[in-house]
Parts: sequence; structure tokens; C-alpha cells
Amino acid sequence: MSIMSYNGGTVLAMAGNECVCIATDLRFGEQMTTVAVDQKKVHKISDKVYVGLAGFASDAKTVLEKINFRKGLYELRENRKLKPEVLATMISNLCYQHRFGSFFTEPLVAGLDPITSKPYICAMDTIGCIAAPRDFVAVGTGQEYLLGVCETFWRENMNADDLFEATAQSILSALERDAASGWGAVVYTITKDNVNVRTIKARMD
Amino acid sequence: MDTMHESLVKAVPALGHYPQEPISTGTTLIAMEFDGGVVVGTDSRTSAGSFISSRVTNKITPVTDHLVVCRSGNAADTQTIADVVKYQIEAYTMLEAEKVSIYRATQIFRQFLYNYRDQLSASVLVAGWDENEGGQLYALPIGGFVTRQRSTASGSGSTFVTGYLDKNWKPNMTKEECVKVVKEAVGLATFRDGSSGGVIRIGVIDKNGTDIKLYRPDGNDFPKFVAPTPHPSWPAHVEAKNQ
Amino acid sequence: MTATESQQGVLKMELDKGGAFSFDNCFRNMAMCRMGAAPPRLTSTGTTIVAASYNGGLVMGADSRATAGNIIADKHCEKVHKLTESIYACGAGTAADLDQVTKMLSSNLRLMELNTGKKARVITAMRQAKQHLFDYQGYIGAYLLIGGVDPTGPHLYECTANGTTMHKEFAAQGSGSYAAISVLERDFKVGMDEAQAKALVQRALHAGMSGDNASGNSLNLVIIRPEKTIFEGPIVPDFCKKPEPIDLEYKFKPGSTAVLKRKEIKYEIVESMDIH
Repeated sequence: MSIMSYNGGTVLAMAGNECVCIATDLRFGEQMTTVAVDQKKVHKISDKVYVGLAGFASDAKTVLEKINFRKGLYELRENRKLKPEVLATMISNLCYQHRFGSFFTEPLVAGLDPITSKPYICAMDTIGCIAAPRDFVAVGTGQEYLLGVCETFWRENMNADDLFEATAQSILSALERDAASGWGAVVYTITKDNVNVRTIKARMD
Repeated sequence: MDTMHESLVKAVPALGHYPQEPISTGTTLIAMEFDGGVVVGTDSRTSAGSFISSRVTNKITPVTDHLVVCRSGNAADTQTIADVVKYQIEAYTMLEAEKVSIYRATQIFRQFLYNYRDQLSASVLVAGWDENEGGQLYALPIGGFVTRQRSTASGSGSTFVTGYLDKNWKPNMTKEECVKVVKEAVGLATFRDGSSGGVIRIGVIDKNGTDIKLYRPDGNDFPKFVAPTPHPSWPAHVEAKNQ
Repeated sequence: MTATESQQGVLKMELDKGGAFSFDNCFRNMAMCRMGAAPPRLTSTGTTIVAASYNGGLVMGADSRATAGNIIADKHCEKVHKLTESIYACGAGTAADLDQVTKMLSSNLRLMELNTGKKARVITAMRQAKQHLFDYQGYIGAYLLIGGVDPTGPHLYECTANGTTMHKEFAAQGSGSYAAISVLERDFKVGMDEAQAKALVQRALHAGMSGDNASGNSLNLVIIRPEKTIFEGPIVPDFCKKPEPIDLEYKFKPGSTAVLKRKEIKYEIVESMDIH
């Protein structure tokens, strides 16, 4: 069994018109046993920038702490707000530093540019190879199911409400078939005015 | 130290990353001393497993005007050794304000091949000319052992032609005689050895410097052989009809 | 230890490694592998990259598919990396390694150009790549085609992860290279003009993209001439297009997903402070 599916979990991000959605499931397991049902894999880094960390949970936690450390240092040294692109490059470099003994977590970055509100989403592999498409990204055990369903659910230039529905329905579809994810989901909708955090009704098994 | 090692071994390009077999110059190197110089001859094939990654390689690498090194084994290793030794010899020449002798150059090669014998897979021939000793030829197989040779063959193709060389070498050969024998030997080796092939390159190093010539298989001066064909024997009636 | 000392200690640990690799997790990862855990799949640009020189210039090209196992991880990834204004590198192999190696090369070459006041040469790029890759003995999985035009003319080099380099007139790399090299071997001629070379590279890429399942989606080209460099792409060949546009839209009415809990995070409004 791969280390990447030891704890289970899925994160999905979609980009819309001046908004992005990032969704996570809530299960934390040890192989087939569910241990906790309130484990969010999405974390706030700054007002409009969020990261998702799927994969091995203890590495995800370590990486999150390293990300927060570097982000804090960046803001102190540069005295400016973090752009999502900059955070992605930072995480990529952090992961690549551990190229030959990697953290078993796949980071995902979603956010809006603090000034222009341009949406940005990207996913990485465990050693920090950034893939930044314009539509959607997914990491974790449900990645394969998500990528397929998102191809049809994603549309050009969605507004925040449409984007939320598309993201929520996509992750619900993935949860139908991914045994390692589930027990509810949370969707963060990041717009230029606020962030809406919605716990959606999902199957609990 | 590397957890990804499994994926390095998997040879399915779509799974894991794209691994490649180590690139090697599975080679034929032939060389001979004559009075006043050395003749070296090589094929030009570089392969990665069964794939020919280059068919026009130059395996005769010039180090100085009067010194070449013929490379066989892992291509990356031999290229790096040649680079580093070339650098050291240039530095030595400038610092000491004198030309480096062929023997001294060989010892620099030996130092690398010996010190890194566990990590390297490289075997080379060092051929050159200097004022004191004239033409010299040194063979350095894997491990860093040095011998001076009058005539030698090395690389995967050498096994096919050592007998031919033993038969055709004689004392006090002229340059032209050496070139003829070396070219013929490389031709014979490339004919039988699957890891050797392509064109033949012949290098002559004497007091005038280095002169490298190329012989193409479609040229007139490329050695040609008629190989004995097997008897058509089975099934007898089919062969008979076809004839 | 005073507070400042320990703070400085942490800073040193995290940031002052000078960009070197950290081997902290190696021992643990090896132990985990020993316990039977499979390592994760890395994104690879199981690729077709092609380059060919013509009379006075160079054409290089790549497909744009990045794969992780049988998943297409990125449909439009950029495999033609810019090193300098007139030197480009196409990469095959481990995607993260290629991104980082080309980033390192381009910054080093730019620094060199600024220090010397001269344009960088292709052979410099090749040697830097070769020496870096040889140092890591093939564990950095970067297979590169480095090409460009410098004051000494157009040059094309192939550089493998082990550190082997070869000067070539035409070359192909990646998992689709077998298909591509067949086309090149058949149709390459010395002294082609630009249009012929471009068509040849495109044909070789098409062969790789249809013959190799790890290559596809679209192709990017770069034509390097002595006076200027032209980048073309992404070009989507006919056989890579979706058979027909989807006319059925999956549009969900707002409110169709049942929401259990709702929370709004408002942004802190900071007035008159230099934060941008």
C-alpha cells in the first residue's frame, strides 16, 4: 500500500471569475479504519490564500508548519502580502529541497491575488513540480475520480455561486467512489470580499 | 539513501519517471606504436541498452596537440575523466611552463581511475608523442592498472580481433602498415560485435601533431569482408524449390 | 541559550542551507519502504522532445503532457524552457528536476552575462548542466536537449541524467523519442531551410504524440535564428482535439447542494499601512 493512501483524504480546487473554491473531505483514517471525522486538509495561510495538503497526515502537518514559518518570515522581510504564485513557488522550493527524502504530501495552492483578485490554483507532486492549469486541480486519494468529473462540471468564467455548486458536486461525486475519503466535506469559496466556509451534506460512511 | 530507487529501475516510460539504460561506448579501440608515433582506431557507436544513441561519436578525445585519449565504458564517466584530466594537464603546463610528458599524463589518468575505481566504469587508451620518448601507447583498463603496449585492443569488440592483431603485428612496422592493420582490425571487430559499428576513425599522433581521419561504410577505403554463409539445409525441399 | 540565539538557530536550520538538498527524511523513508509502503508516484514529463538544426538556425519543440502513472497530471505543461534570449532547453524525465535544473541554469547564465557583458554560449549551458547532473550520478532525472545560437553559430547538444553529452545535428529525447527519431532519421537533410526544418520537427513530434501514450495534448515550438527567437504554441494537432465540443452543460442551480453549516470569514481592513 502506498504511503499516500495510508491516511486517505482528498482536496480539490477550482477557479472562477475573480473567485476560487477549495474543498476538502473530513476523514482521517489509518488504512481501512476511520480514526477521526473532523480533519480538514485545507489551511488558511493568509486572507485570500489557502493551501490543501493531501497524503500522509504527519508529513502534511510538518509541511504546514514549515510553510507558515517561511510565509511569516517572507512577510516580515519583504513587508508585503503574499501572492498565491509566490506561496506556490515557496512550497515548491521547500519540497524540492527534500528531493531525495521527500515529505509524503501533495500540496495544493488556491487563492486570489491580494491586489488584482486574479484567481490562481496549482497542484504539486511530493517533490514540488508545479502544475498550474486555468481550470481545476485535485490531489489525494480521490484525484482520479475528481479529474474526470471536473472535466464536465467546470465551465468558463463561473461566478462564486456557480463555482461553489460545481466544486461541491464534484467532490460529492468523488466521495461516492473513494473509500479512503468521506465523512463530510467543507468548501471554501474565496472571493474578493470575503471567504465563505460551507460544510456540505455528504454521505457519512 | 534514495527511496525512489525502485522507479529508477522500472523501464516503463509512462509509469514513474523516464529512466534510461546507462549510456556506454561498447566499443572497439585498437592502437599501435610505430617508430615516431602512434596509430589509434575506433568505431563510432554509442548505445543505451539496445538503442543506438549516437552513430557518429568521436571516441578519440584530444587532450593536447600531441596526446589523445580513447574512451570506452560508461560515457558520462569517461567524458568527465577526460575533461578533468585535460584541465589538470593544462594547469600543469602553465604552472611548470613545460609540456607534460605522455607518461606523466597517463599517471594523472591512472590516479583517477584508481582512486574512484568503485564508482567508475571506464577504461581508456592513452596515446601520444613527446620529444624524449617518441610515440607511446598506454592501456588503462578498469581499476587503474597501467601498461605500456606496442599493440593493443580494448572494448567489447577487442575479443574478436586479438588473434588477428597477434598474427599481423611485427616489429618495426611503418606508419602506413600500422594504419592498414588497425583499420582492418576495427572493420573486423565492428563486423562481428553488436556494440560496435558506424564509421571508422583513425588517428595518427606523431611529431607533427594529431591527424584524425574518418572512413564511412559506403566509402571505397572501408574494409570489406565476405563472410562465410551457412549451408542452406532445412527443410531441404523448400530450399531446393527456391534455388 | 538566549532567545535571540535560539531564534538565530532556527533561522540557520531553515534557511541558511544555501539551497542544498536536505537528507533529513531519507532514513525514515527507507525504513517505511522496508515496512512495505510503496513510494509515491512522481510527475514525469514522459515526453517527446525534438530538435533539428537548419541552415543558420535551430528548431526545437516539445509536446505538453505531464503524467503521473496513467493520470495526465498537466495537459498544458511547458517543456520548452528559456535559458537565455537565444538559448533554450527542452526537458524529459522527472518534471520537478527539470523545472529546478533549468531555473538554476537560466539564473547562472544571466548572472554570467551580466558579469562578462557578453552573450552566454550554448556550450556553457551544456557544461553547467552536465557537471551538475554528473555530480548527482543520474539521481536528478533530467534529460535535456540544449540548443541555441551564439556568436559561434547554432549548436545543439543532448545531455542525459548521467552527464553524458553529445553534439548533434538533430535529436529526440523522452519516451516518445523512438517514434520521433525514426522520422528524423528518414527525413533530415543537411542544409534545410527554416520552413523545412520546422515541418520536420512538427512531423517528428506528431509521431511521438500518436505513438507514445505519455506524450500528447499540444505542442510548443521555438525557432532560434541568429537575430531573433520566435516562440510558437500551443499548437493543437487535429488528432489531439476533442472529437466534438460538449453541448450538454452540467449547470447546477444555486442552492442545489445542501449546506449544513455556514461561516463567513471577513478580511481585516487595514487602513493606511504599507502592505503592498
